[in-house]
Amino acid sequence: MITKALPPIIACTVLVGLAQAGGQARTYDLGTAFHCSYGMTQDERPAADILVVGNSQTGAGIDQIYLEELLSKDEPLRVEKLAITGTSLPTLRLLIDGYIKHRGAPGLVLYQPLVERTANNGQQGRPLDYRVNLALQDWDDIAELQDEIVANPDDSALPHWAARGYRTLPAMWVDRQVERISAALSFRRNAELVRACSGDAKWKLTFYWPYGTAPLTDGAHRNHLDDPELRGQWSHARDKALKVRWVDPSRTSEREQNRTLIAALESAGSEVVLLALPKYGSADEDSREARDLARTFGQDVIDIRTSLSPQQKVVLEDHFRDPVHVDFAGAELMTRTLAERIEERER
Amino acid sequence: MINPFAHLIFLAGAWLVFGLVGQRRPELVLTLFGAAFLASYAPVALLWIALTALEACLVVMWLNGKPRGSDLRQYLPYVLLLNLLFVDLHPSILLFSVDTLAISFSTIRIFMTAKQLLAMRSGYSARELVWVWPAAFYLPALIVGPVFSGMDLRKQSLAQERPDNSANTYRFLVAGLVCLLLVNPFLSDFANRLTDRPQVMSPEPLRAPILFAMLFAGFYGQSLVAEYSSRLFGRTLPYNFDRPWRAANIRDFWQRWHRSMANFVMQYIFLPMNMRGVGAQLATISAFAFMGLWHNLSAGYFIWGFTHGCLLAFWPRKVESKAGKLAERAMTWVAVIALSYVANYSWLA
Repeated sequence: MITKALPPIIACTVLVGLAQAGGQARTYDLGTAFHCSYGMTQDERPAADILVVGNSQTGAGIDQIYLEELLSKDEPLRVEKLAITGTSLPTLRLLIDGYIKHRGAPGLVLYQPLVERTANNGQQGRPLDYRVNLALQDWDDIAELQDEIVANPDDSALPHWAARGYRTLPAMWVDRQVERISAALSFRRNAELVRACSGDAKWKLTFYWPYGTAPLTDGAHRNHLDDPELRGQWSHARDKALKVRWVDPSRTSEREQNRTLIAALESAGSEVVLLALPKYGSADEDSREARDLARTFGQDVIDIRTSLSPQQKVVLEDHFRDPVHVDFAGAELMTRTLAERIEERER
Repeated sequence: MINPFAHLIFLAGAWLVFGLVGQRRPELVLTLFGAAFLASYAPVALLWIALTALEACLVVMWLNGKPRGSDLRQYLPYVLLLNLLFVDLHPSILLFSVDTLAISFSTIRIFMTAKQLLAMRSGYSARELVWVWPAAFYLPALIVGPVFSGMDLRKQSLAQERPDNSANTYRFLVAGLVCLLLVNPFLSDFANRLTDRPQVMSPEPLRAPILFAMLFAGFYGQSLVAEYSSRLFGRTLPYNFDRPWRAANIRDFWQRWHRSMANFVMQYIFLPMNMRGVGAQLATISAFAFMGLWHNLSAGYFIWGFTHGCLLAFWPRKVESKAGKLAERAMTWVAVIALSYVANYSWLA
């Protein structure tokens, strides 16, 4: 019998070995923002005084080192930025939980509530099987969150676990091994991703986000859009994007997820202020969104666009490198405005 | 989207259990692991396939009492194919979108098994109905087929076919994995890079050959994994591909590309229509239009199936000249690639 079972035993041993090796090496095929954010949450330093949290819009728009310089007038402050690319509330929740667990609660959290409802991602908040979670997060934390995350209410009689994209725990466990096996097989190719987040390099998150870049000096790299003609196409892309207000019933799950995240931060001892960041050519929509944020979450909101002078608003429009992300000069302007608003609040 | 590695992990688990139980009952092991795979990744699909299998059992049991050769006995099993509509229509009915993994292939296999049970000359015993279930949940064939009848497995089981652990089996298994895990993602990445840089390659349909190659690599690789992993359990499945790159014309292409499905439509759609007096050309077009809609209930796939049917029906019988043969080969590939683009990537998809 053993002879008959030998080939499959060898095959399974190879798969188990690859999964173990991948789990150790952590050479997962994920963006550096994920590798570095996860590294930040597991760091041994105490929590930051100010933590800026959001998606790639925050990543590109806020320079944490410059903000630290602007705010450290009387006493030194430590400012960190925890931003992830793409849209995943469960991922952010797991990262924030990890941060609090390992490093404690930051004094002030500037939180850009994550939006998941876009034209490309119609159903949000349901699956917890984002590759980044399966690869990096603690299994018990994933399992705990699994039951809590449910779909938006709809008219179907089917339970939420029946939905497309939902993964049962066994499937998620298998997918976790798949991530590890892939990591082992991609060891050479992805080693750079892990190296890019080793030591202090992780605080930078990714090379194309500002980190001590502002204030810009003459001749400094500005990360500016090379092809201004593309701007004409942005209006089209913006109009195509699904515009659903925060108060819309279809965003119940999103609201609940964001509220849970805010409550977790507050119960850990952080003060939470929401951030509303501008998008290209969306003045009316931005103002409406800021009002919706305040009404929906009952938190203070720093609305960057309304804090800008009319002249600054015009300047900022020239510093978008796509419909939502600003270049380094735009980040300088937004960071300076944010610092002013924080100082105003403290006064 | 299921990662091929996840399927591979289940296959490895099934192979281990098969080895530990002394290489007995391959169908049972693969059916149980197939059901576990679906329960993990697509529980509603599992339920729907189980219902279809149950429906097939009931249809066969009821029709067994009807006279052989009667229209009812011959054509009623076709109602099983209506279960395919679940794949495309369920969001409107359930108000919910669910994973429909394996439903398309399993339904065809269940239907074929039911038809062959009813066609058994000696009549079937109730125990034979059990072969509907491996047809429904056969783990290696859950992702991209091939399509076959549970009765093919029965034949091999009765003949006590042994596992094929030859070097050839492993060679093709590795070839399948390379296509699936390396070539397909590489081509997908390449196609995406071209989309990101429209100034390099525009207009969009120029990407069609790359997208077609990507689709082929994934489909071919997954088919090899299905066919040769099944051999490790002692069961030979029909080939989906026979070196399709050698196809000299559209007729030759369909003898080499997705052969199991092409054979199915010819045997179960074309032949019954033709035997009831429908002309060969119309029957061919109908068979391939069905195949298009089986892929997806969309205008793109209807055009794909209908046009392939027309090409097959009206393609010249024989081309003699060398230049003509060359033109025939070129036209075949232009048509195949263009139609694949229309069905999968155009606004009609």
